[in-house]
Amino acid sequence: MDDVFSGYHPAVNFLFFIGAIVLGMFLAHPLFLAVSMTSSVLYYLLLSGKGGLKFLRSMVLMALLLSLLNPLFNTRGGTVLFSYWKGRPFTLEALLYGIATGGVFFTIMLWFACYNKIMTGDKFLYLFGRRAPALSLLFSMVLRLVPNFKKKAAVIATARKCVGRAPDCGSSRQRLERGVEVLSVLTSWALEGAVETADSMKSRGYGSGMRSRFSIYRFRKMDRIVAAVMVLGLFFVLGAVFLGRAAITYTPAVIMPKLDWITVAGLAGYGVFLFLPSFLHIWEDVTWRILRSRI
Amino acid sequence: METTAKKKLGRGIIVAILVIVLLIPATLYLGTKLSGRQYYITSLLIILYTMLPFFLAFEKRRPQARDLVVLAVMCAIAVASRLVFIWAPHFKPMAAIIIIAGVAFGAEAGFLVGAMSAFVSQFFWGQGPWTPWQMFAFGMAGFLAGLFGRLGPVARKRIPLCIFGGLEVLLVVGTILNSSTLFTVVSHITMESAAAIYLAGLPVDAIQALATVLMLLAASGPMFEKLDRVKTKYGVMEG
Amino acid sequence: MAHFEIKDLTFSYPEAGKNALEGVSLAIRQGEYITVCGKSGSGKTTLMRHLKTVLTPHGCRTGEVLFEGRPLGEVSQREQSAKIGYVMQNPDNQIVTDKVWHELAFGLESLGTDQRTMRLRVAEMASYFGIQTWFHKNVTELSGGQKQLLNLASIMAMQPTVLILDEPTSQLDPIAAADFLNTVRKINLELGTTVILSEHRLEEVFPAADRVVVVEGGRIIAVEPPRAIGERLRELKSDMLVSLPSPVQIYYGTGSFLECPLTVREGRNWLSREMADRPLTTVSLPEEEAYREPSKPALELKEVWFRYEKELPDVLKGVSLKVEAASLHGIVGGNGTGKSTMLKSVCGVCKPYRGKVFLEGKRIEKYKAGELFENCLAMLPQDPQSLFVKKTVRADLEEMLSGRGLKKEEREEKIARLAEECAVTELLDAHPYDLSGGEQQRAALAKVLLCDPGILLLDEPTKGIDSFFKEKLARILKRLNRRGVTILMVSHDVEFCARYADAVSMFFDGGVITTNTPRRFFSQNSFYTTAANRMSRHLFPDAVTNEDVIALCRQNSADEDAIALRRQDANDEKMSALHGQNKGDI
Repeated sequence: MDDVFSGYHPAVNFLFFIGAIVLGMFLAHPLFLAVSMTSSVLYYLLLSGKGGLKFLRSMVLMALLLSLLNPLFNTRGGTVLFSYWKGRPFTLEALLYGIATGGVFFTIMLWFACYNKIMTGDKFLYLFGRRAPALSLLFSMVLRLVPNFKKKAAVIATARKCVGRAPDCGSSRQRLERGVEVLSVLTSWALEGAVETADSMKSRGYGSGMRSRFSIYRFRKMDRIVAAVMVLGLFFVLGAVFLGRAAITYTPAVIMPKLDWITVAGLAGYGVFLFLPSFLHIWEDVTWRILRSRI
Repeated sequence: METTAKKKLGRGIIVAILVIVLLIPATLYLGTKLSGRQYYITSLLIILYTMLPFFLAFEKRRPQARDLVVLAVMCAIAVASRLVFIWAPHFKPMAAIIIIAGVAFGAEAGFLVGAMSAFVSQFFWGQGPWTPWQMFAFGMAGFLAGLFGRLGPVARKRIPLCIFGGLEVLLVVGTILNSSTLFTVVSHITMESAAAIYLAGLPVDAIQALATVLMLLAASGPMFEKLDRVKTKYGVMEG
Repeated sequence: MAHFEIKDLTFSYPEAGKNALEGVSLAIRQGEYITVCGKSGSGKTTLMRHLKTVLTPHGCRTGEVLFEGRPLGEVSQREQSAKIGYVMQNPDNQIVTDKVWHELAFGLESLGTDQRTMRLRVAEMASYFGIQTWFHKNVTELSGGQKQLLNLASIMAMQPTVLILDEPTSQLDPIAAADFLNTVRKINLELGTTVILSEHRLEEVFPAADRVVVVEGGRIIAVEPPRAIGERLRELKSDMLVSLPSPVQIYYGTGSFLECPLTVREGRNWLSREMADRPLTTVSLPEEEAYREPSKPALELKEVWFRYEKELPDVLKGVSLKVEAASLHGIVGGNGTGKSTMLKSVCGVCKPYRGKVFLEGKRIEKYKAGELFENCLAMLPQDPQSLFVKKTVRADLEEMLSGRGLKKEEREEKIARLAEECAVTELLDAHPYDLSGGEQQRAALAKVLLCDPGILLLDEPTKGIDSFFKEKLARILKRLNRRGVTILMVSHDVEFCARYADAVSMFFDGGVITTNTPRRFFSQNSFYTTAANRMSRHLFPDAVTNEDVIALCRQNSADEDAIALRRQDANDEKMSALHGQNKGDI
């Protein structure tokens, strides 16, 4: 991952995502939603490049589908666009509400997609492992074992194939049985190995007393600065939210809060907060190019 | 050994019940005060409350190295099992493995294996707003399997186990996951929208239930055999 | 004060008939390098596990173990964790966490070390072991050798005073194994850490060891410095002599009176001195027929090209190979050259995108799905455990015959015959996982043979098994050859190929470079050849196995007077050696 933001302290990463996801979930106000949607698309594309377009397309389709489906179940609203099936109304308000819901879904999905790229297992562990040493160790062990088992399952399948028991051919019943055989061999092998892992843990003092935690993360000056900017941004958004500038009702009638400088300040704060990782990403790209051109 | 495990579990259950009786209604009440995404946030809080006692109980137990590795192996197999059947895209044996773990090692371990497998598989297939629900749904599957396992040897017989597993996936796991869809994608919950979501989920749930039944039918025998061998030979998961 | 002292230790596993350890006594000094050797099942592991309380097996025990003068049981688990480091066989299973950096700190975390100390120790270890470049990786991305180094580094981070290693290199390829053992030696020399190490392959370990402990049937039968252990074993008439390094075996095979050589260099010098005053009448073995490509090969690859994915580079780059029917054909070559992939292309797991594979003269594509693996082809995987599904070896063998329409008696007869052939009859009712590595190998072989293959593929069949099991395996393979089975074997084990193969090919960079008879093949190579050849090539250019060298030495034997004179010299030398130091290279 060559993203700058992912190199920041896990706490900073997490603060960003929790903010982006929670706010994204609640703020269905069109302007706020628009800020969240554009920033999430930008950051997602910066992270995944052209490969991300496919996912983006499928999410747009899902969002459109949701926008159109929601009014079918929500008939409230004054402006009836048309009626169908025994006079059931399809209202403009419900459609708008549907579109907003689709937008919220879209932006949340994209933020989660970014989250998956930035918040790796070890960062999560670092943040939440302190309070739960056993669970976090369990988590780390499972993370190690899964790719291991994937490989081993392939090895076993090959071995079985070479004695004429290929798990991927034959009748469905045979395939199921042979698949189960692979799983069964995997289980034996894994459990036998687990006993040795337990020995290795005990041999290195596991369970002999209080554990401490090692981490490779440091909270640097840059982390402090970025965190401060984020908190400032959040302060403005939350200010606008608590002053009611981000609330909106769609059904039965669309009621928008008034637009004033508080709304603008809230939007600006939201923008600063959400665009920060993309900004850092682009900024580094640019400085690199300038540095390289000087050489 | 067996009895101490049961006692510990008992305390966990009591805490869980207290949470369900006291905290959940309070949250529900507060939820009505929220506007916008009240369904999602209240339900999220509720499942977090329900899971917390299990996790705390596990931490408090200070699990032995052997318990940890066996749980880790079960979780990893549950996650990786999907790859063994890669030729059948909708065939996910995860629930079956979790149920087997629950029956073999008890309700508490079952819950952990379920929740942890769901959580970790999200790291491989992608996180989303559904992650906590997945954890909860599969955790519950393991937990109930553990309770079912207390019936004794009957629970390990193929037919009862398959019936239990199929129903559980269809009714418990399916319902919880469909609810999560309902809370995430529907703007305004009505009887109709709820019915639509649950009905739309039914075919998928049915396939999952069928996959679970088939897996339990074919795999439960050898898997129990293997888990029991480790249990007796190395004394794993004995309180 | 001894670092470790074992006093009259006797131990038996629950429900086992005989004692696993019997009256074992041994004192180990601070900073000593001890090598423990013995056949598999001799009680080495049981003995070594008694040196750390958490690893000590359950069972009935008398006698005691003292660590730094105190009974081991009274040393707290914390202190033992830090001071007694223990490395096990399997590199993978010892790793707990998913990141290299986290694994390095695992032991320190368990001891509750504070963050600053941990940072320093982890940094130190990463630098000392050269881990910096893969410090941030996931452990799954590492090679076997790197994993084992990581295990060692993670233990060394706790600064142990003694390091116990139980066959640490049995799962590694020769280069990684040598690398690992060099690191262990470096630790012993530079840090003064006591080392207790058990190994099958003694070539690298012998020169480093201060004393060699030989365990047999749960007893210590000999404790001597490496130069003297052969003498002792000969007195005892122990068959452990054949598992000693080649120079030592050849030395004892010729009955020399000079000082026993330990390394190839010493062996070379020793041989020069030994043969110095003898007229070298015979320098080569009887002329052997030149290698001819078989005209009707049982297995043939023609210009096979393969890559795993379209974007990835080729793994097989035009492999051509002919394997003679009913022969044992060995393929040697470095790691990652594509040897295993070639085997996979033969059995149809990897489908070549160009080139052809012929089995018994018929193209592999022409075989129907089921046909190929019935009565035709079978592969023994590198890890025999991949084949075991059932509770007992017998059930596992029966599984192979199910659905073939055989009668019960026929099946039983067949299983009994193959079990006999593979020497697993006594093991039929055991759980496959309770067998030793070599036994598992044979049980898996029996299972594979139930397919009645005409062609048998073996992937690293000698990995992690001791020389006795190797010999047993070789006998089985030869018997199969006589029955008409063609065997193609991929191996790192140069000595095994030299001794038992009918033809050997060198595999490099995705292709077969050359094929020849083992003798011609290895005598042409100067690096990739047996230790016996390397130490004797200046005198006997085509001697490849230990037996070859011994035979040639005998043929060039000196007259009686010369031998008497030499005996006198040797005695003088021994006397002076007693005063000087008797360890290390001359």
